[in-house]
Amino acid sequence: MTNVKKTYFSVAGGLLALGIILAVLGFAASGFNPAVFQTQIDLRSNSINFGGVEVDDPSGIPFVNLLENLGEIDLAAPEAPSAPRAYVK
Amino acid sequence: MTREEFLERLGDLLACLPAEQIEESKAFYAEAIADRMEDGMSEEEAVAAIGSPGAVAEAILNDLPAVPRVIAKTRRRSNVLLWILAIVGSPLWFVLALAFAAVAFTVYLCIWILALCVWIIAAALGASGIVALALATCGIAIGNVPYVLAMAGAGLGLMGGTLFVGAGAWAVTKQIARLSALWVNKALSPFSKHRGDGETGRPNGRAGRLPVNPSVDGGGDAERTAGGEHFSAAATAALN
Repeated sequence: MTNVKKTYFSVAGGLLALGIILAVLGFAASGFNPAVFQTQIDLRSNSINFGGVEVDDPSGIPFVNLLENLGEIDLAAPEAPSAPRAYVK
Repeated sequence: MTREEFLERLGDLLACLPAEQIEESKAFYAEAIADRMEDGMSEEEAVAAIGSPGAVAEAILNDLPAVPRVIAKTRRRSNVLLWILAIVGSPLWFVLALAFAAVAFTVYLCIWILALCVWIIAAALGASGIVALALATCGIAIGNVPYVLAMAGAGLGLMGGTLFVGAGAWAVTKQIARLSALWVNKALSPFSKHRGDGETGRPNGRAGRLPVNPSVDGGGDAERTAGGEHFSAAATAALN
């Protein structure tokens, strides 16, 4: 195995191990509450939930305020124009 | 029989092949005869060791891939017959050729889609990791430490997984590239012969060997380089 490959796999293994440790720590810190891994962002009902914690004002949260700024996109079909009036002499 | 007579007769018998292929075959056998003469044989003995022109021509034709072989053998009987068969049989062979091409292309595509699937898995893992890390920053903004830890952990773990799957995807892609090359050779085998292993310019890509002897055809590198004695033995065995 070349040095590049060794470094690559070491980094990958390190990231994986660190990730598992952090995730377990977060799980333990939440009191072993599985909801800590849950994320819910629903801007229609304005309900934002990060790890079981409700967020009332999303404006200060990065990325989420970007979504909020997009606003609601109206996908309804446009109204048909009214028919032209007949010309009567 | 002299060398010139042998080569002339061989050229006549191979008239159904393209001119370039005839010249290639004649040059190869001329060289083979010359090699034997250099080894001390007389011209007649060297020609006799190669075999009769008819047997050699038959061996060359039998060594062709299936489709060119059928075309050459039909053409040898009559050029008109070849055209009649080609035109009359076109509703059948054209559809069959089309179906064959479609199947070959579909299998080739499936092989590469398999590789694409592995890369898509790697990309999905990477994208999930980035999103998890972005959510971890959201957790920092709201001050939810367990969520930050959990999301950062998930993000880093997914990034690590992405690197592993990426390495696997690269390995799979290399194998699939090899597999697809094999498939292309296999799919084209009825039409053309792979010339990758022809070191000495032997007609139809066989290095220093006669085409008719199965025991020789299945041989390894040692047989390929065994020299004139081996060729002579192969020729004798092939034509007996």
